[in-house]
Amino acid sequence: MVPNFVQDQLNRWDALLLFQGLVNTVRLCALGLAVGLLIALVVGLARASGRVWLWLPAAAYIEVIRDSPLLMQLYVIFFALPILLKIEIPVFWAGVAALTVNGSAFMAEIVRAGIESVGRDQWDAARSLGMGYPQIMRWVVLPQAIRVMIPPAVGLSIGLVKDSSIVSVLSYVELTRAGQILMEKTFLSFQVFGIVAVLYFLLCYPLSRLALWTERSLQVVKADG
Amino acid sequence: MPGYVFQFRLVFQDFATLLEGAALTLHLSLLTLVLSLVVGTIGALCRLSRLGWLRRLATWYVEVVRNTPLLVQLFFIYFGLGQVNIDVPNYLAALIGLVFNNGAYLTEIVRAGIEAVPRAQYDAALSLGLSYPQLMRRVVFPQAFRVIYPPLCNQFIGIILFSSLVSVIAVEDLALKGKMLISRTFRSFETYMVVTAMYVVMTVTISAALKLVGRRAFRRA
Amino acid sequence: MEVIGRRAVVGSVLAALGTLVALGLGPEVAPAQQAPAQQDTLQAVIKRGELIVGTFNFFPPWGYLDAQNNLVGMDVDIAKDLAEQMKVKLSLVPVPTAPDRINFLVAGKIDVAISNFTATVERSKTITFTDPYVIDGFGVIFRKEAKIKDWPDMNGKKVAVTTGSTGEILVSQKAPKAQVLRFDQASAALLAVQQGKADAQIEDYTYTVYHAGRDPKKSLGFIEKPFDLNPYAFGVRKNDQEWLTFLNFYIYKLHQSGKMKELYKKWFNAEPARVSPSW
Repeated sequence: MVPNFVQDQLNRWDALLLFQGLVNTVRLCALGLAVGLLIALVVGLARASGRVWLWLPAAAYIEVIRDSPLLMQLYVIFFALPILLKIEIPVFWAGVAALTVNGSAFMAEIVRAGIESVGRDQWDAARSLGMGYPQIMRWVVLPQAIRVMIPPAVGLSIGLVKDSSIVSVLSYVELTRAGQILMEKTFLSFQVFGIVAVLYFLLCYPLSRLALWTERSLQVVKADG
Repeated sequence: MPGYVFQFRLVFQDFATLLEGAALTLHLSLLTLVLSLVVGTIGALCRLSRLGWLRRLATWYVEVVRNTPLLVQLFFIYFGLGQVNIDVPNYLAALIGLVFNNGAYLTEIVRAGIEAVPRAQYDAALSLGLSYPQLMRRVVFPQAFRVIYPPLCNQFIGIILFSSLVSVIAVEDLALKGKMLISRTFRSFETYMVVTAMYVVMTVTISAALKLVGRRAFRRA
Repeated sequence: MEVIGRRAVVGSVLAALGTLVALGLGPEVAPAQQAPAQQDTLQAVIKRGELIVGTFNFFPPWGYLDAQNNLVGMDVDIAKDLAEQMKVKLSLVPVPTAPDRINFLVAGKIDVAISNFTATVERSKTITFTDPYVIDGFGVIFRKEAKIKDWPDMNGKKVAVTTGSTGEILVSQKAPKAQVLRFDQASAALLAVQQGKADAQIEDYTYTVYHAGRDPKKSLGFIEKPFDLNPYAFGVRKNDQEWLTFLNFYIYKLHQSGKMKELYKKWFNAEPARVSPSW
């Protein structure tokens, strides 16, 4: 008897696949955000610096990344880099790298805006106390800058969760790919993608509310200080 | 790791087909921008409406769109609706998906623009006897547009870049033409580098041009 | 400083791109050797103790996901048998699209591609094919209401194909006036036909027979006579002689031992077409 390939309904293994997809999405985003923030800090500091040899490469990096599609960045990292660097890059890490690179460029601008939001008077006061550049950054500027950076950073993390759906084109089983697999197996695209959309919403909406909350509460503090 | 011979020439021989794809990308993006602006304006007016249910509806629209990925929205419109016998052809599905998505972001942008116009303007206009449509058309929107313009330009760049996703529903934009080229030449490295470069060139030139136009138009600010 | 900064950045970015274009139009950049270095995947696999095989997971009955979402299929069974014969662990890598079978091979992500891979002269320019292990043909699956009886009937209709597949090449030859919809995966193209977004799909013959049969609405038909006969073969990298010889021997044993007959019966309930030992 030839095996039957027709599957009319979604079963619990399909729910499991969706759950695995959800978990993988979270893994992609968590790593992408963590590493992306670190890189963004470095690039953002470079961008805010007055020295040409620092801000020009940083600006070029930010500009090129922000002006190319994430889809292409993913393809370049997955297919092109291994050929250039002669190493093997598995799908998951290519996804993380693409999200990191993309997120870091946008985040770097946020970092720069945060640093530049700290008034000159703070710099002057710190200098007059005899502090050097690294000390000023560490103790005076960054603590204040971070407050300004947090709301847009939370907004960016929502973007990251949505961007992770693009990694599905490499067949990595995150949430969107799980949905595609189920759609192709059962042909129930309406139900499947409806459920996938709801799951993404459940991931992102709390972050949206968090972004609003941080914006409100941190702004009050800024007005006082 | 196998050695690799770079052959950019194979890509440039077929440059015409990549240009076709770029033309479609730009065409689709422009159409999306115009339609999204219409949707965004309607959405913004709804969000600022006095009717509670209209406000809530618009707010829900914005929240649902902003918290779900564009790719999922595209699949839903193309394959999802197809399953319940609402057949949407691929180009139309791409357009609807992009407009649906960007309309939400533009709703927020237009709303911010309208809200930036000071109350004093409303009071002055109303005391001069202008009706609501006249108020909107002659007083609010021209001033709101100044605030809307920069984020609108940013959004347009975003539209161009995210339009690359419509390649997954068989729309022959620049990204899909790139994939087709790869299936003929098997030169994934060269093709993706060239296609990415094309997107960057498009985006940088358009963004610089828009900035120039903005500076000229809003000089009086 | 801001205005100057932005222009300088734009200028340098465009300059870099200009260099890229110039490089592209200039003479070809080639390293000392003209072809990839000598490979020895066979030794690599044995040393690693693991065989990495690329298959599809959306193409029944060759490689697809069953109800429990396990990767199963004819090609999967063959891969399992191969790993067993070599006494190594098997690692299956789902390949997203047809051209990716080649991209993944070239990039070294898989050792061999066993994924209903039709051997063609064009593809042989980039990778190497083993001897055929199965013969298939081209087929068309169509909506019954589109009234397609033969290949030329597709002119003027909407035809769904997979990018990089032999079907894509065929549609331009057999039905040049057809309106083509290109999808990443055969299953998406099939979905398009099933939903009426396309009138027909060109795919491998066995695929069309089975999917026409499985449609619950019974609205799909297929062209009875397959066009052309195509060998499926394993795909390997160029200059990998030892691996190629080994796999050819494996395929020979596959047929000779009756394992192929057994698998074909399991998945197709039919006899496999006779495969000649060489092209």
